Amino acid sequence: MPATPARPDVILYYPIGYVDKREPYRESDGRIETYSNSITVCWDHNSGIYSENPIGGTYATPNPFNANRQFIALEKSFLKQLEQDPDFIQGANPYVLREKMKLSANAILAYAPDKISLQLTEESIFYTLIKDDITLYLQHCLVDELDGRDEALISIQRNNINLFNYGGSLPEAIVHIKNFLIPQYNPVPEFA
Amino acid sequence: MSLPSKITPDNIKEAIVEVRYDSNTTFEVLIGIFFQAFDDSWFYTTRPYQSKASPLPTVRQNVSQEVTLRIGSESLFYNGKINIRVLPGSFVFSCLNEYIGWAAYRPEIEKALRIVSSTGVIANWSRVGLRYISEYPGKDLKDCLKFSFSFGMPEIASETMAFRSEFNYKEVKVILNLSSRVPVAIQPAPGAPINIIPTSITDIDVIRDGLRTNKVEDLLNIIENCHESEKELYFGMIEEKFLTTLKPEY
Repeated sequence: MPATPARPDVILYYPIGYVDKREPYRESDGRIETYSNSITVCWDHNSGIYSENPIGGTYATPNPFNANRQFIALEKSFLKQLEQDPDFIQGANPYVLREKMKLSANAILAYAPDKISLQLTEESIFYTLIKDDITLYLQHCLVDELDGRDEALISIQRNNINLFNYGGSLPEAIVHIKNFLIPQYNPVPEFA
Repeated sequence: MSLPSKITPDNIKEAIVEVRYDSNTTFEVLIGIFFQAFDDSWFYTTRPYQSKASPLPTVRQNVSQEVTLRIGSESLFYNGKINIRVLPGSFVFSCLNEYIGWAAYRPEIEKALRIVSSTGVIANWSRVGLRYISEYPGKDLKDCLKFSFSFGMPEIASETMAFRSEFNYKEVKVILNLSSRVPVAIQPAPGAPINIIPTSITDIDVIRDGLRTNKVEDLLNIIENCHESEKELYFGMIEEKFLTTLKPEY
């Protein structure tokens, strides 16, 4: 029987819920690769242009709609707190602060957290993120003191055991978070 | 046969409505026009673009220094109930938090589409898509749906299963994805051990393509028809015994 020619318009994706076990992250810690709380949905050509290719592991395709919800919730919280504390940073342009918040919030939402919160602290934005048994703290310092780049402090814990700390520029901090938590590509746009 | 207007719990994880459009105005200008048209009950924000996943599995050591600048952002409108992704050629609606039910969801979509339509910049509404995804933690698909699966060796029972079908139903194209007992990890509380819960999924994507209209009334009727088809398919598939556990309201 002759082989059936492949349809040129069909792109093969893993099925919904496929667990890619080729590259378990933090294998040495005995962690298992999971779909926490929600199944990764293949936003493939079903619905058009917001396609995501699920190849690459659990975190390759965080649900874009959940991420948008969390992003909106963070921004609302930020604006509310900024409104309550107009002197949060003397002389700072609220528009610039808002755009800076978007960058750091957006970067850590790539981790598809189960829970995330935001708190304005002294001249910084403090994020607390929970994903599975990992808790991540990110302090985005909004006032640069050295080279004009935003700075950040991160601390990653699992079950109250400290796993990783870092202090440096925001983009570098985000890269470290990515390397630690997300075994795949992640963009870090720097605030221009 | 009358279909339930509400079930509890509805198990709906996502309810997406996508409406595609053609316009003779460039997208950057459209965003400004839409921003002017939406009243103060709507909020506007932008979110920096997300990356696509790497097309091939990557090795951690090789990606450690990859940093990419991608300029631009995605436009979002939202009110207290829904949010709208405004993309070149399409509007994508979803609920702001959990699913609010079609009776509340549809008027919000209608409100937004009437605002957009009133700007006069939409030359054509070209496509409507509704996609409802439901999850059933701890359940086998055959306990939820009138569905069974076997292949050449009927003595083998699948532990986990995924099924995809594309077909035409009335005036719509349907892409149906069903999955049974996919392992999902849930942590009941911070610090608690992770539980693996086998979860089943129904994913019904109803599409009406090739539209040629710029009238918002026509568009709203098509969305309503698509939703009706979505409901007919879902309640047509659902196991009657399981349906009774969902407290259907008619």
